[in-house]
Amino acid sequence: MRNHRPRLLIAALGAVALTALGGCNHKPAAQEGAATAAPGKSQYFPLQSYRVGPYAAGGSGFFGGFIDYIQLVNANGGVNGVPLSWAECETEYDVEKGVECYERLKKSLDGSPTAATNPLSVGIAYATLDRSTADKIPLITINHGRTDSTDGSVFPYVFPLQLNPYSEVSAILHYIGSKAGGLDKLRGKHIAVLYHGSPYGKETNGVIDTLAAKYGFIADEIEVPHPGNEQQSQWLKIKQSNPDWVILRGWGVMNPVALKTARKVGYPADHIIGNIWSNSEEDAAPAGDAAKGFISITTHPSGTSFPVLQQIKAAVIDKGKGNLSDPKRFGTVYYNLGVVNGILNVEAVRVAQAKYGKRPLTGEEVRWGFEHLDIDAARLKALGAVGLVQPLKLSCSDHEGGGAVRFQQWDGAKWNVISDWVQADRQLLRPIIEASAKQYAREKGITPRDCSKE
Amino acid sequence: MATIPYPAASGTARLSLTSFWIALLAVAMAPFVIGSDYLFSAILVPVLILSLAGLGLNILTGYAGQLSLGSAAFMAIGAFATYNLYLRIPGLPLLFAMAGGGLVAAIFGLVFGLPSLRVKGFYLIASTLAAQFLVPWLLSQYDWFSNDNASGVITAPPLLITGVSFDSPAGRYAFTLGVVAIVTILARNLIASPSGRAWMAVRDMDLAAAALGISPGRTKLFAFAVSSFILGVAGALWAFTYLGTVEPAGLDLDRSFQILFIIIIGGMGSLSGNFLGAAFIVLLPILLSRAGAILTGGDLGSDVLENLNKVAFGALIILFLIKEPDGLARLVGRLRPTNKPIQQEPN
Repeated sequence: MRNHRPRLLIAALGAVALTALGGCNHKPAAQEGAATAAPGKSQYFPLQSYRVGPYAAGGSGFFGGFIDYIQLVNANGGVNGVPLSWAECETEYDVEKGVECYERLKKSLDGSPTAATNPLSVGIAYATLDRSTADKIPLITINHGRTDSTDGSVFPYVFPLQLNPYSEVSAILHYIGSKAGGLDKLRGKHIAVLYHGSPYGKETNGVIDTLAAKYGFIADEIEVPHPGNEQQSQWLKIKQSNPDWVILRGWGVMNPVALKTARKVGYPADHIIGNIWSNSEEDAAPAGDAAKGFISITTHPSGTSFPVLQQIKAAVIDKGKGNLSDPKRFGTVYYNLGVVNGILNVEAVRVAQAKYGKRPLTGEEVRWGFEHLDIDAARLKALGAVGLVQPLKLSCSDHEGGGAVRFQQWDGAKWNVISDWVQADRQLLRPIIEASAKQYAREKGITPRDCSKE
Repeated sequence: MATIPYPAASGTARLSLTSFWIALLAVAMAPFVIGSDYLFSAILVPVLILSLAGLGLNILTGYAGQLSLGSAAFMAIGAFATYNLYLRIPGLPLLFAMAGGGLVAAIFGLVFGLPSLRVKGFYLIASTLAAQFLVPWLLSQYDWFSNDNASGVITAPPLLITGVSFDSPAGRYAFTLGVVAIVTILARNLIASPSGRAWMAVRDMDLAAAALGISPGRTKLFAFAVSSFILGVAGALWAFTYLGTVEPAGLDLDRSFQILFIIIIGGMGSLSGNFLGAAFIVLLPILLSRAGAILTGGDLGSDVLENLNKVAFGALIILFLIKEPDGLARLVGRLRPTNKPIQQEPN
């Protein structure tokens, strides 16, 4: 008898495995949206989302906003009549899972062409960069990603929209400079950078050193190992050297822990400047009182007063179709970033449709749309996103476009915007970006496009 | 060497060989029947590479009896060494760079294996754990290792062998399969050789092995070197054929644990066990997530589903280990009556 049991077990296992292997050609388990479209007639967005793990707050907010905006577009009849569809796959912010999700989702279930991928993870973006280029699917890394992918001549399919990491640093330095009375007053200042121990966190260290040499300030880069829930020694070090400012390049749980530990060692919160991934309600609120006065940058304020958010509320949330499990997060920073990202993706589809026709477009055609994005004040008004999205103009050589941020301060309950748009010095950064892109092209054997001919 | 006891493993080595060939054939042929990018790049390539990593650890732990939690560190050394050799020595063929990366990992393996001369078991784990923490720190601390990349990430060059490109999903699979097959065959021969028997003798009882004229120290260090070499090659494949990039933090303690689970679930001291274990570890979560999505029809949030998957995955591992503590390799072995030793029924 004993021998039969493992045989049964193995047979069952084998059957399950075979079913799965056979099922590999039928990609995602569920493709949502576009209920009105015939198979293959929608514009498809594969979503490598994450709603569990240490970064769940960021993922669920961002993808919630993204999906809700897509639902709003569908409720209004799609993009020129082309409905949008999407499928989700959980990555947990883990690179290998992100790659598996990319491969699983890249082709839609019903044959609709794929517009773009938006993994919201530097690690996954790095790992799917080659694949995206080979598969001709744009890879969107809004407000993050590889800085040198700004140079579209080497990275035709990668778009660090709005704000790449170097622009972020430059804008923060401009703000610190303006507080001191000019960039020349940075000389002799002492700035500590507390960064997340990941490719994302490390990305700006080189450029900070370069700018420190240029402006004559002292930069102190201190790493916090992932996920960052223990920072006692780092903050003791900061307390000892007592820098003028601390730039917090955090992510997820690292941010509230940083603020709490700063309070513990006695470093003032209003001299900590959070970067673009340390700027949400979920970063400040858990730290309680310790977060009061904390400053951060943002490309888009939180809030629900923007017309586009009101439209989402009326057409999606109030109808019970909202994607957020906690409706209170409607209008928070991560959610609004998802909406911004949705607007930019859909606008790229719209721009590309103007050239290629009002039908579902291939990734290659949508790529053209991203590269020719030109969102001006009038368009922003039509979108109901004035103040939510910055004017953006992309080109073959510039896949970033904006490079401006505003500063906001946490008052213990919500963010208040405390500055006008602060522009990064993109001319200064451009040679650094080009040099890095050139090195990448050399390593990968890529011949850059000639952007003057595009 | 004739006096060396030839333990029960002689039988299993032969069995493992057959199942190895069967597994190899199945893995090699299946994709060309089903054939999809997804299968190649999201399933088969990582399974093969983790199988190779499992083999590396299995030589050290399953055959030579030395515990280690530093597997991912040696993978990282292999990946970064291969990258740097290929980058900095113009004209060096990629395969030689990979072998070189393996050799560098082997040297580190020797160094971190030195404590095994004095300590055993859990204490040895502590020493290999040091490697696991030191290596990623070293690699991210000095930008030279990543050719001054701003993020500390290395980028794999195009996969070219004598001018032939392997950069398609099927090509990357073929490349990985080739390297894994060659290394596995070499490892099998090594395990069947006197060195392999010396490993097993040391594993089973080092005092007795010493009494037979085997030097336990040299044997252990050799196991560390071979194990690290294989892990190094696996790391290079991980960076070059699977992800196309690697960050030091991607090969962290979690990865070492994953490799350890592969050999525990697959079977210690078994070649085919590495492949079965790796397939189990990679495929089961994917199967569960797909099954969960189909069963619940998307009614549950993906966060709830993902957590349920983790519970199911853990429960299944426990179930398997209770049913068959010797691992999947043993379970599969029991399915083939012809391979069972013939037992006389006692009257």
